Amino acid sequence: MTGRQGDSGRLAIVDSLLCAGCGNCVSVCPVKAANISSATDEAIEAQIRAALGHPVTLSPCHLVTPSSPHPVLLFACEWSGYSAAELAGARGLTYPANTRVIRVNCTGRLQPGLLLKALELGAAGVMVLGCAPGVCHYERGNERAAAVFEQTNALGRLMGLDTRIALKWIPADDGEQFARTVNEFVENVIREA
Amino acid sequence: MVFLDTTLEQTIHTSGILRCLECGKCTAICPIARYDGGFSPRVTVGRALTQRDNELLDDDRLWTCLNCFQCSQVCPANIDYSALTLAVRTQARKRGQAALCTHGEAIHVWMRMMTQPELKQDRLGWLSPISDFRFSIFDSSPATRHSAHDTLFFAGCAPYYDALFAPLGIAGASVAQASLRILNALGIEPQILAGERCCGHDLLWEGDVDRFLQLARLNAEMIRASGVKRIISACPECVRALKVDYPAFGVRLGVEVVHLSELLADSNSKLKISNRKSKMVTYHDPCRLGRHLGIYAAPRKALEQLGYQVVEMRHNRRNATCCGTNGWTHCGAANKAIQVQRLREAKATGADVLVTACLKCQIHFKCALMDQQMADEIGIEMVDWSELVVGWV
Repeated sequence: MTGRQGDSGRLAIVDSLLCAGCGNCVSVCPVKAANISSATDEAIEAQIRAALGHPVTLSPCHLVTPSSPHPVLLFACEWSGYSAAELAGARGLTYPANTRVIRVNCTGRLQPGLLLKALELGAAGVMVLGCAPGVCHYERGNERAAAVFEQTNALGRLMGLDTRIALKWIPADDGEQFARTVNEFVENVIREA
Repeated sequence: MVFLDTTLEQTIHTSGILRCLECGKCTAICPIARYDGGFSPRVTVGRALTQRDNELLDDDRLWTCLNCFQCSQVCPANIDYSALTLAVRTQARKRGQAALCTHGEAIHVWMRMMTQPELKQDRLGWLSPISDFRFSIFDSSPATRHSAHDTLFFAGCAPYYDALFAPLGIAGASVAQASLRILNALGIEPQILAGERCCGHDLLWEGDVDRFLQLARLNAEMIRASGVKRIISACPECVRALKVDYPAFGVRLGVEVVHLSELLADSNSKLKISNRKSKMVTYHDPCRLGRHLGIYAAPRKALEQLGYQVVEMRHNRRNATCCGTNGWTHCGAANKAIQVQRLREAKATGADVLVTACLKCQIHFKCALMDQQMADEIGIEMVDWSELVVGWV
């Protein structure tokens, strides 16, 4: 966790030992004053680009066509959605090959801009997989995730993209639910495309 | 203002900086310079004059100017500082530099997505809650063409701000609804573009001329096809872009562009003076409506005719300070300080309500009040101008 020094010279000090690592501070800050070294905007954007077959540069000016048809990005919480994805893999469950999982410490780290950017860059669908209400690893990160999703979905509706955005709560120990949820979403995205 | 000359060398001539007297009035009045000692319009002009282009382009502060026009207004040599800002930003972008986006880049993403001609928006949801609105929707299908209505209501990005800034309590839909209700009350049944795009204002002032032009051309195509003779908008930035910037960049609409307040001022007789309301209000001039377009009296007149007592802040009309942030980039301590100072002025008037006439001003002010200490000290009720004026209907 780092802070950007304000022009006034005053600086909020963050004690990194007390930081739980959820990254929700980055999500709520409108002016990019907060950052988390393990999941900067740049790092997440690089993963989005890589998953969509773009050259991993950070210039938004030069967009290229994605390589695979209907790529779907899954932003999965380290403590729930991602564990469930691993479990689905370990149990040999199948889900569509055009999905790519991007692991985040907490889905409350995400922002409408990041999710919409994935669609801008050519994702056919974007799904956020987080901890169910009441069992968030960071206590309230999923509330933030729900708020981010609401904003993103409202914007998506205006641009006719809302069928391509979803938020689901996945228990960490439920590989079946992960596979089923992802299958349903991808089917829906392809049907709407 | 000449916008088309984007090379720095040409801008030295067209912006008038050769006339600089080095008096420093620009820096003295600059709201950013007041709180950020590292920013000075005078120094920027000096660098441009001596053609120290690298110093100009490598300075991160090239993105901090608000284009609020305070400096050009007081400049005794009549220098168009914003033309220089625009030229520097355009050049910087060409070198791969970019402004630091705020709000997680969401606004930039939607502005960029709107440049895609195939984007199918569903942006008219704000119309559905109210059944007695009179309007016609223009989309590009032939069936809706040749509407008899010669006025277009350009709603602007209010529905988008609604979606993103709902947590701040921003009611973009109600601003759009109020504007349409006012038009209906004036006997105007406007057309509304189903595929309306962002006007491109913010991208232009960031130096992204290419995308600005893409948006301008998409809007112009629809506007021409709709056959309207007049565009009315309640958004100061849309009016500025459509009226001034589109033609300056060769996108000619060939129609009149009017701000809603001007229209109301012209239809004087229809707006009845009502009993004095108990509320005392203060009006914040948006830079685009005020200094950019010279509209100061019309919005105040409407409020006064409705019986509101309009009290002025210390800085008002031509001297009104900016809300502190103009686009959606480079917001920091200086910007917040400007917002806080402006809110202090509003509070000091003793007014019950701070009337804003640009959704962005309201968003920025409310953002500053997210700080609970600030909210306790200088919190004030904020209402959009159109939401107050619609009370007359």
